[in-house]
Amino acid sequence: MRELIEQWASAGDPNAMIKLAELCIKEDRLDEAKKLLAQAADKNYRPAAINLARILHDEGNLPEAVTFYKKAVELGDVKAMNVLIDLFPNDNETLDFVLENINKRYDNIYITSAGRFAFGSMRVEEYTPQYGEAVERRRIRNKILQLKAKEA
Amino acid sequence: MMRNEKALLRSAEAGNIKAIKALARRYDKASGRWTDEPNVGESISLSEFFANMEREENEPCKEKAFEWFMRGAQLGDPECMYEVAHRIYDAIGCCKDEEWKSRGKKSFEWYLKSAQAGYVPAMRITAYMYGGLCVEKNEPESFRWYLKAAELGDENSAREVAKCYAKGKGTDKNLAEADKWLAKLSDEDYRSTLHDLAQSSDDDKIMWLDRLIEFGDALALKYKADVYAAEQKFSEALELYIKAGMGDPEGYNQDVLSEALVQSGNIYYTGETGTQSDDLALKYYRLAARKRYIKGMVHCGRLLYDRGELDEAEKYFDYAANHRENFPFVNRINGVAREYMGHICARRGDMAQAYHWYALASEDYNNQAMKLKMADAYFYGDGVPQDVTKAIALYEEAGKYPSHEYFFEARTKLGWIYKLGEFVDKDSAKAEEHWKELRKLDKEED
Repeated sequence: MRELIEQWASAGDPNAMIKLAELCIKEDRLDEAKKLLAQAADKNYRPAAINLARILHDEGNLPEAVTFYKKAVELGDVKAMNVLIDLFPNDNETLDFVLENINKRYDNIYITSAGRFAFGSMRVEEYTPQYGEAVERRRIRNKILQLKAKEA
Repeated sequence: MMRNEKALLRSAEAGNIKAIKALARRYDKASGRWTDEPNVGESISLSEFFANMEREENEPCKEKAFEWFMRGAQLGDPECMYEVAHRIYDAIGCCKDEEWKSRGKKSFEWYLKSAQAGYVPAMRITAYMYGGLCVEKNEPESFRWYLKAAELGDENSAREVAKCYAKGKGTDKNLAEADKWLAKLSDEDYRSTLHDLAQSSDDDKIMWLDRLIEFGDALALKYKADVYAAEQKFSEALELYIKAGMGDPEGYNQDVLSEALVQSGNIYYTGETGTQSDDLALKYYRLAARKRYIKGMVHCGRLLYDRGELDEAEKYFDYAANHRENFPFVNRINGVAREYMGHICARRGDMAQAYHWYALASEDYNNQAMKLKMADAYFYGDGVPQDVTKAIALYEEAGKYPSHEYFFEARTKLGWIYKLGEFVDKDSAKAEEHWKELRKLDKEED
């Protein structure tokens, strides 16, 4: 498996870069892992951005971690949104940045029962990953609005 | 042929309407046709539909039935006209190669003739078709026929007349007249007519829902709460959702009432009213879960999982992950529950079982994250035996549409698979095709 991962990562496949970074982390080769994740994040590969942000955060390198949390937020990562507002609850710029990225998506979690038996459409009782993410984004949105209201 | 059958045939041939109808009905019964088949504008339950899907039918008998009904219709019998119209519309024993719209036009002519001859069921269908089905929409005519049928005692038409007056459709809006007709309906019809009115009107929606609430209708509480939630009036919505969900009335769609409990939980979980409370959210999700409502179970499971209460979370996910419904083709897989069963096993260190669940979760059309995860697992042989063909199929599913959550990641990988050509024939053009779409999306976002 390792040979395949190394070969594909060196060819430039961001998916393989993440796998190789995971192996490097297991072997305590953190610098190499970070380099690989940065390269993959640069190719807009979402899992790379959030993973790198976490490593940098654990190392105490907050400014760099924030850069990659923000990148992950731009790529739609809900966990990164949560971390950023927990880190900077009083920073309007960060709150606005997260809010702006939430508002890019259409989230309607309050749906009526009309489409219950509509073939092919989402039924009321269905819990899909998209619905779960939408509920999370709504929670973060409201948290931001409350923080901003408190600040004001 | 028995003696009495011969006599019946002779009588029908001589133009006796009673004999013609009896003969037509005999052929109809012998055809094995679904005799309670819904007519134009009528609906049926899914279970009835499935129960009647695989009938063995006798085509010559259907044709004979049509011929005799047509003979009766031509002799001026309104019931036969109605039967002919129904058969032409649904191509039963006739008009097999004709387009639906052209059949619809022909059938309308017979329905209209039958209605004009005073046959009440035909009046109702004529009115329905004047709503714009296969003929030019003519709301005043539609109303006129509904009114005529209602005045002759047809309860279904009475419902429509009430709706026409309430909405000003085909006649002037007149709530007093609407009330007059509503008062004539049975409790069940009264309730369903008010539901129709609430669903189809924007301006008077709340008024009709309030009438239903006054009548003690539990669903109306939930629907009124939906209106408030859509208007972002969450305090009002919450109060109604709780009231709807906490009641335990019989004879209502329990899923709708359970959904009201889930929405109560959502309002607390997301903090719509200014107070975020996971405990209160969990309380309402649990109440929904107790009603065996799958969404309630998954909500409960997720909250408990985030709190690290794995054993209790597992109970909810296990039920939801294994839940099956009666109708195969509307049966959806609850991929989120299966995914979390996998996460729970992984947190306990049982990776073999975790991958078992992830693989099941990846069968869910909606769960793109699990498709991608299993594609990676098969590609690298990580947790499962390596199977690149399976991996490619899963990457393709995960990256099928730009709206897919992991479209970018899946397409990027597919591009590399074709570019490097280790497991498939090297095809730089195909690789470029995958990446070009991603660049196009990037440009659109910019």
